[in-house]
Amino acid sequence: MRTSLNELRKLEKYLQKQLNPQDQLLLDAQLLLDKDLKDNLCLQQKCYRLINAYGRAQLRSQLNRVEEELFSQPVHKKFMQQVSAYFK
Amino acid sequence: METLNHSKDSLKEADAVFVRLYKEVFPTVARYIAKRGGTLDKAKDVFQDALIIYYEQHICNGSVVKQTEMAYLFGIVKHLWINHLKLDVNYEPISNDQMAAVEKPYEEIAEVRLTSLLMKAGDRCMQLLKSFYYDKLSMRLMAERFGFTSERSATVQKFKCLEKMRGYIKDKILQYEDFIK
Repeated sequence: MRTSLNELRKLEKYLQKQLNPQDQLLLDAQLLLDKDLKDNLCLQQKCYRLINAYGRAQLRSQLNRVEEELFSQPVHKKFMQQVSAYFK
Repeated sequence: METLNHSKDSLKEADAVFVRLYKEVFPTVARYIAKRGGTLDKAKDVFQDALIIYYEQHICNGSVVKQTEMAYLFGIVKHLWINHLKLDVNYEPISNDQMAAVEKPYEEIAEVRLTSLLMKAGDRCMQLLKSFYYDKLSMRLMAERFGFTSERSATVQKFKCLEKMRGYIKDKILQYEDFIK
């Protein structure tokens, strides 16, 4: 992999605490000295948070679709009736 | 317990799993919330939140829960309902597994803004990144699902997409800084 991709992989392992102790210490030191590297680490963390939020948004869309089907399709009438009865 | 993502064509299978969970667990949830003065819409909201927590903690990584699935999901629902009401009346303790599942920070980001931001990275990239980091698909399945010839090429593409996304976020931040100077 090219250098820039290797950097992403290394930072990912650092964040997941999967580096060996020497590499961990080395990267700790590099992060103190190299502002660009530190910025890239922060940006990468932002990426993971956004990917997680995107995944959750997609899951929510999927659940909305399933829910819509269960509460509107005649094939699920018995289920709808059972549930609705509790709120009467 | 079925796993949602450990096959190539998982969307229909995933829907089927969720349909089953709704049919098996939601009636109990509905009765619980109706008895406590909640509405059907509220019951749906709470159950959906519980499913998301359950998915993120267990389904996507295939881990096994100690209790039955229904009891576990219902436990998450009760915890969410109690948090919603902020009452201690009739509080029923839930297990450590369930507590750990709901204590993890549960952030929501404005969906419209998020989607428009992320889609700039490209739909295929976002699906790839989501499949690996959120759905926790193995590299082997990633390679199969996205048509890569090897796990290595899937890994390289994953990092290329991540680099692209990181660069886009960096540009967005720089643009904002130019604007406020």
